[in-house]
Amino acid sequence: MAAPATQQIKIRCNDEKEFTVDRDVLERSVLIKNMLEDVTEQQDAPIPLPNVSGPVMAKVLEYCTHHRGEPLPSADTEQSQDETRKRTTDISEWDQKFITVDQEMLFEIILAANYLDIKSLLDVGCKTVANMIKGKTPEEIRKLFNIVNDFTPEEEAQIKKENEWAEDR
Amino acid sequence: MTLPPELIWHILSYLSVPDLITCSAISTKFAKIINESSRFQYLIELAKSRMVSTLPASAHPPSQTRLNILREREKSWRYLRWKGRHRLKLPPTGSVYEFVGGLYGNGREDEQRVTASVSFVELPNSLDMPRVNEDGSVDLKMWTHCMGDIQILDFTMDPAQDLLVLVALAPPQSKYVYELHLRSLSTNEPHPRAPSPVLACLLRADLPLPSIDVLAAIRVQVSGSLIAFLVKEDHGDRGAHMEIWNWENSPQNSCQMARLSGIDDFTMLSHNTFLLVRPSGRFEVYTFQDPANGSNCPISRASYAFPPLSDGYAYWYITMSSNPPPGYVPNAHNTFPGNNSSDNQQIYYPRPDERIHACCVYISNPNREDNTQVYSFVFFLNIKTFLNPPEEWFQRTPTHARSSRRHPVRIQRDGSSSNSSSGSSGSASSSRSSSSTPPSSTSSVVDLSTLLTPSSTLPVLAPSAPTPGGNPATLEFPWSDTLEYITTSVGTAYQATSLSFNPVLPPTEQHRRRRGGSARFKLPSTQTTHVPWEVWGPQNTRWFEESLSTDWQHAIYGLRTVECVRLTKEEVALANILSGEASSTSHAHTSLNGTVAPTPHTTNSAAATTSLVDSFEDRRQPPEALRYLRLRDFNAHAVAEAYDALDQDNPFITDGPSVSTSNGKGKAKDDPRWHTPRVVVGPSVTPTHGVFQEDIVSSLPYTEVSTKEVFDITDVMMDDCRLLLLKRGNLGRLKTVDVLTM
Repeated sequence: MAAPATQQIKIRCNDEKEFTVDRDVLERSVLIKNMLEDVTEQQDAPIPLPNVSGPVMAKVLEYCTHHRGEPLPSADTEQSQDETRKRTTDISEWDQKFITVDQEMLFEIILAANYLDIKSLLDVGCKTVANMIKGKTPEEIRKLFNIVNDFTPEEEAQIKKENEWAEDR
Repeated sequence: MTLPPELIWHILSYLSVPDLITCSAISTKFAKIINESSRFQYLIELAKSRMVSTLPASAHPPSQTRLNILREREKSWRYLRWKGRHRLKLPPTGSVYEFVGGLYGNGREDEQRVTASVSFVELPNSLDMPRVNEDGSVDLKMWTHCMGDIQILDFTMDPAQDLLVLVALAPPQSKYVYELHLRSLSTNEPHPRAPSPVLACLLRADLPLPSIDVLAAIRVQVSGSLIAFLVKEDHGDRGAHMEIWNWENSPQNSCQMARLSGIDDFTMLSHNTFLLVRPSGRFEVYTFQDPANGSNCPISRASYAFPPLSDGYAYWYITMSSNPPPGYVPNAHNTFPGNNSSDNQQIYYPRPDERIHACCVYISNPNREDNTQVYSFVFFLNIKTFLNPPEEWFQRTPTHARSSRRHPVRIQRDGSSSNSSSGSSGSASSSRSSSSTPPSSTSSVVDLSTLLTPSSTLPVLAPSAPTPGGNPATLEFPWSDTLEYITTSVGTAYQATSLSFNPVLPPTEQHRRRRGGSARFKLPSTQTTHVPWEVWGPQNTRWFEESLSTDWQHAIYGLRTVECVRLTKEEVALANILSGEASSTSHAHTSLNGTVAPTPHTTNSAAATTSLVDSFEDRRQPPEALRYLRLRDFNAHAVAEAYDALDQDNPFITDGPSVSTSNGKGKAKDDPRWHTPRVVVGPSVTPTHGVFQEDIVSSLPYTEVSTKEVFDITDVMMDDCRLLLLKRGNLGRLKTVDVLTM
C-alpha cells in the first residue's frame, strides 16, 4: 500500500481556484475523507468543492494543516464534550488567533466547516460568534451582526414582559 | 446573519440561559429557533424553576421528554394536584427517619429506644409508575440492615453516593463521645470510598460516658464529600461542638469549632460556607477551607440578628430545615444499585445556591413563673441572601467589635470550668497508639478561653514559613465576641496559662506541621459584621405564626415547602355536621366553601368535597385529627408568573396574607385556605403578642395553594416529585406512609 500521508490530492473551489494538498490534511474534512474512501482508483481530476471559495479554502487549509495528525472526534468524545459545552467557550490560543478575521470571513469559515464536516473548526467558529453575543443586549447584537428587528411593537412588548424574570437573576 | 438556522442553533448552544433569553428578542428568526428547540426550552424552563440538570443535554431521555416531565411536575406542584397515590408496606419502624433522593429510611428501635436496625424503601417516581396491588399497596424494593453492633443515635444518608452515616455513641473504651460510621447503604459494609470508615468526635474530657437519656441534641448532614456534625450542647460543659470532615479524601483532618454559649442548629450553605443558629437569636455565616487541605477553623463572615425580643423573653430553641443539602447531586455516582436503571432517575434538582430554609423559633419568658407559654414562629429565607449579601450591609461600623476593643482582657468563662481541657491534654499523646482509637481521632482541645478575648493579641503558634509545594494550613480564629475555645486535630493539647502564650511544639507536632504545611494562628484581618434585623430581615424573610403541635421539621425541597395543617375550629364543627348528616354532598360543598375560602374557579371541588366527606365517614376519624396540605413556593419567577397570569382584579392576588393584618388589625389565626394558587407579594405583619418588641413585618414573595382533600396524617415529607404522608402513633412510631406522586 502506498503511504497515504504523502499522497497529494487536488481540489477545485467554486472560483476555479485549485489547491494540491497532502491527503492527511484534507482528511480533517469528514466530507472529503468519505469521498476519498469511496473512490477506488486514483483520479487525477480535482475534487470539486462548489460551496467553498478560494480565500475561504485557504483559511480552512491553514487550520487543517495546523491540526493535522490530531485524532478526529468520535461519537463518544462528542457526548463528553456536550457535557462541558455550556461552560466552556474556551478557544485555544492558536485557534483564537486563526479565527480573528472579519465577520464575513468568520461566517464563511463556519459555513465551509459545516459543509466540509470539520467538527472542531465548526466549534471554534460557533464559539467565537457565541462569545461575541455574550452579555450584550438584543439591540447591540442586532447592530453587531446587522440584523433587522422584525418584531411588531406588540410582539416586542410581549417578549420584554416574558423575559423580565431573567433580569433579576 | 446569513447563517442557516441549524448553525445559529449551534452557536446558541454555547450560550447561558440569560443570553438565550436575550437572543430570543433579537428577531423572529432567532425567536423561532429558540422557541422551537426543546433543548433550549428545557434549559429555560429549568432556569425558571431554579433547577439544574443532572444529565448532559445529549443523554437519554431526550430534551422533549425532559421538558414534558418538568412542565407537568411544575404544574402538579403549582396546583398541588398529584397523579398517583399508593400506600407503602412498611416493616415496623421507629421515630428516626430520613427521606432523600427517593429513598426512605427508618430506624427501628429496641426496648431501650436505641435504633437497632434501619430499613430502607426505594420509592418509584412518576417516570415509572409502580404496579398497584388490589389492596392499593405497591411492591417496592426494601431492605433492612441490623445495627446491633453499635448504639445509633441518629443517621443520615445520601443515596446518590450509596452513603449511610450512622451517628453512634462511642464504645466505653474510646476517648471520644461520638462515632460517625460511614457505610454503604446497599451492603451496610464500611463505605468503599471512605479511607476511614469511622470518624470519632468530641473528646470525652474525663467525664463519665453519659447515658442515652442525657445526651445532647445532635445534628448530622451530608453534603457531597463533606459531613458536618453538630453537638448542640456538650454534656461536658464545653458548649456546642461543630465539626466538618471531608469523608472521602481526608478523614484525618477536620474543620472544628466550638461555642460555649451553644449552637442551636446549623446548615450547610455551600461547599465552603455554613450557617449557625445561635441561641441568642442570630445567624452566623462562616466560611471554611475544605478539611482535605488540613485541619482548620471556620472564619466568621457576618452575623445577622433576629428581630429584638421584648424584655424577659428568650429563645427556648431554634431549628433550621432545608432540603436537599447543597452538596447533594442526584445520581452523581452510579454506585447505588437501585439507581442503575431509570427507575429512580432524577433528571434535575434544585439549584444549590437558591433554596429556602425554614427557621422555627420557640420563645418563652423564663422570668415569669406564671407564664409557661411558648410562642412559636417560622420564617423562610432564601440562602442566596447569605451567599451573596449586598455590599451595603457591610458598610456599617461593627460597633460590637469596636466596643470590646476598649476592654483588653475579658474573661469569658469562669475559672472553675476553664480546666475542662486538662483531662484531654494528659491522655491525648499517650493513648494515641491505642488500637481502639480510630485513625481519624487525634483531636485535642486548645483552651484559649481564659486568655483570649476579642481584643487580645493572638499568639503565633508556629513559624509561618510556608512549605514548598504545600498548602499552608492557616488556622484562623473566628473573630467575634463568642470565641471560646478552638480545637485542632494536632494530637497534643496546650494549656493556656498566661497572656505570653508561647508554647513549644512537641517534636511530633512540628514534624506534622512541616509535612502538612505551616499552621499558625493569625490575627483575622476583618471583624465580623453584625447586620441588624431591620437591614437584612424584612425584605428577605417571610414570617408566620407556628402552631406548637407542628413537627419542627418543615418539609422542604428547593424553594418549596409543604406542611399539613389542622382544620380550623369552624371546619371541624362543619365536618362534624357533615359526617353526622351524610346529607347531599353538593349541599355540603356550598357550606364548606362558604366557610373556608372562596373557590369560584375550581372545577373539581365537588369531587374533593366528596373525598372530605368520605374520609370522615369511611375512616371514622375525628375531624380534629385531619389535616390538609398547604404548599408555599418561594421561587421568585413562579411568583411573578402567577402574578402575571392572574387578572389584576382577581381576589387571589393579595398584598399580604389576607386575614393576616396587612392593615395592622386582627389576627392571623384562621388563615383561609387557598385551593387555587394565590400570590403574596406585599409585606405582611405577623402579630407577635408582645414577644418581640414590635410585630414583624416581612415581605419575601411566595405563592400558596392548599388541598381540598384532608388526610389523617401527622407529618409530611417531600422531594422533587413526591409527597410522603406519614401517620404516627405512640412514641412517634410510624403507622402508615402514603405516597402522592406529582
